[in-house]
Amino acid sequence: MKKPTSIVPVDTNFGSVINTKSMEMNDPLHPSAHIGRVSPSPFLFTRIQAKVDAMQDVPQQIGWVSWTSIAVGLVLILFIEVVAVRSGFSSAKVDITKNFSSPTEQLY
Amino acid sequence: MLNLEDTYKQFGERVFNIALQYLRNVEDAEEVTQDVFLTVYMKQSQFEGKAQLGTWIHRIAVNKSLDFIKARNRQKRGGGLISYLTVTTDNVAQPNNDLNHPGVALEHRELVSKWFHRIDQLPENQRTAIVLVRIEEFSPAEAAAIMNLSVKAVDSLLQRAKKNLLKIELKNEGK
Repeated sequence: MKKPTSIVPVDTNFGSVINTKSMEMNDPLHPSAHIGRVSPSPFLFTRIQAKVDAMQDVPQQIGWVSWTSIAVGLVLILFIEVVAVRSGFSSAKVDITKNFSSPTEQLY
Repeated sequence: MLNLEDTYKQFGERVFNIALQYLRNVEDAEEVTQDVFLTVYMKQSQFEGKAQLGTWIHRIAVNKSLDFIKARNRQKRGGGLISYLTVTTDNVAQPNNDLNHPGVALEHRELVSKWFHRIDQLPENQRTAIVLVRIEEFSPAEAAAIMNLSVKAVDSLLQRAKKNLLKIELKNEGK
């Protein structure tokens, strides 16, 4: 005798009601209410883009400021050196002809 | 070179919503979203392409949101040196009573606010697992990639979170 073949696969879960809602209500990981998706402000990207543009301007400004400060620093160092050398030459004579008066100076 | 506008169009809303689930305040969430995309722009050279771009951006969103909560908690404690010297509870968010979440219907606001308050008492990683898998509906694999964990670890975090939430509920009922 030929066995009857089942055309449709047998659904073993047929008829069993799975109440997902009540399961979710008892699930502490579920907020018990729908939390919808929210769109950000339409101006948010404009604000981000403005900040990015501002950031791009900053390195150029920093570059200008740093080169100026380096130049000013170099001039200042040069000036100090010149003043120091000049005063060194002028005070050398004084040192040579100096009379050692204090006992500490006499030690040397 | 990353096209910021395209990247924002693709991920902006998701980033904003992740931040909103943590902060529950539109202005704060927008500030974090802004910060996320500035970081993406500045650190795009550091993106090695090992992970997907979305995973990387969502990870930044999670970290920035948690940092924002920590900063807010420090401000609430008074800020300054004292807050650094005292025992920190930075991984536990302070309850945010002013729920400013447009995704929650007005009639459910109290219920959801209480639920969020319980979630806030969980450790950082358990909270993140809930935000990503349960609220933002990332698959466990996606959440695992964002959190830089295995899928098993994320499942385990959710199980632990469930146990902890039951404990918190029991504790609240006992009060």
